[in-house]
Amino acid sequence: MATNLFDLTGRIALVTGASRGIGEAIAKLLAEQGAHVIVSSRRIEGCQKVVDEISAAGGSAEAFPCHIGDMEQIDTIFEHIASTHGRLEILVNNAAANPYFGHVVDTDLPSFQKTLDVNIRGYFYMSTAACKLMRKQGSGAIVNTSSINALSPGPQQGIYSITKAAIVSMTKTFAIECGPDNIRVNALLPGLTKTKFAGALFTHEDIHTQLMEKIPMGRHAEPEEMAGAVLYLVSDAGSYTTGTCTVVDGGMSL
Amino acid sequence: MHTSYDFSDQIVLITGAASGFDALAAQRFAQAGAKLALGDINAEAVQTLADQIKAQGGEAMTCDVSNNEPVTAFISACAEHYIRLDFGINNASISHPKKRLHQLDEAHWDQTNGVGQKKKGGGLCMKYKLTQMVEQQSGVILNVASAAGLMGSPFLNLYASGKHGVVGLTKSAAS
Repeated sequence: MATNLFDLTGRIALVTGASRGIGEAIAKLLAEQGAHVIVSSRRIEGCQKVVDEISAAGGSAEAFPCHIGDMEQIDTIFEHIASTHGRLEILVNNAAANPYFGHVVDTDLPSFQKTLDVNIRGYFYMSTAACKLMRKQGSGAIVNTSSINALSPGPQQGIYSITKAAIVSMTKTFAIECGPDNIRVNALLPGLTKTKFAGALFTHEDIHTQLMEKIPMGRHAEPEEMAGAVLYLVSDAGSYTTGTCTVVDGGMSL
Repeated sequence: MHTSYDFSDQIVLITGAASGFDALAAQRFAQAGAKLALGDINAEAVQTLADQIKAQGGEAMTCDVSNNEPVTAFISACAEHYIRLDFGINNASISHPKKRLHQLDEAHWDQTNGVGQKKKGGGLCMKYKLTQMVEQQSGVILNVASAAGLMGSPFLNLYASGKHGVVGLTKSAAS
């Protein structure tokens, strides 16, 4: 019997933005592979629903709210992880903000600030906190959910695309500096995925048509189709993979 | 509750399979239930690998490509034997003496980028695999390139050129 390279038994995983969409799919798959998953998003109700579904399927999970745009809440969740578990093997930075949809020139300051606070500052300080725990234990894996907008800006999504490109640079920076600590850091770059978060891309018919024409596979992705790539990146199957951008986009960025 | 990877009855064709990580991949695929078609210029080594897989209860056929047997023969034999082809892994490769570009012979160009090698070899493998996969309307091809397919490699210039070609071919075929 072959060793299961994707087995996560006994590992503690924190997934942000996990109450729905891609984060929910990732949380459920990591739990299915044996991890204890801390399901996090701003509101605990949505997290608890995911936890209940994981538990009903025989998995292990807990809900913990955290708005990663709030530095105090980042401190709080990591204090909880340190005191309750004392370690963290996996962090999936998936929570993101995209409050503004429109021409880049008209970007208002509150939307600009919120997008940066969550997508850059939030990812950054979640990563530093996680790395401090991972450094002590001598290993860890972080996956940052970016977007193919990091490679080519999406229509009407200027500031969001800019932050997603920053996440790619952040991923490489952490991968280089934390490699000696046996902490691997990779980015997931999803393409057009059917989620509430990406709702505007589906409701604006002209934009949706424009995007679909660029996808060789001729369809959008379901959230579950992102989870397998994350499982590879955080498990022993990806033990020599760090600093990469894993593009999962049906060929859209080719 | 844990989901293991399951490749039961999936057909996997691997070139350059006799050694290294492709030999490990072949064994992994077999352990996960896949049926294998293995090719390598080292006919003896690839047969030994196939025998090991069979001894462990797996299924594997081999193709002797030591005499530059056209890849079409290998892929046709696989398709004939197994009826279909689900995964194709192109790993067969060749390098050249580590020299500056102007110090290499023209023969090295042919060896690394010409007949039977890198771009042409991998491309031909893809051509015939795709013929089968398009017909069955499904399939996955994995081309083994290298970090040298993404950046320049001092003294491995032709090798890097070939591997860049593999990356370009992969993206083009995917799109």
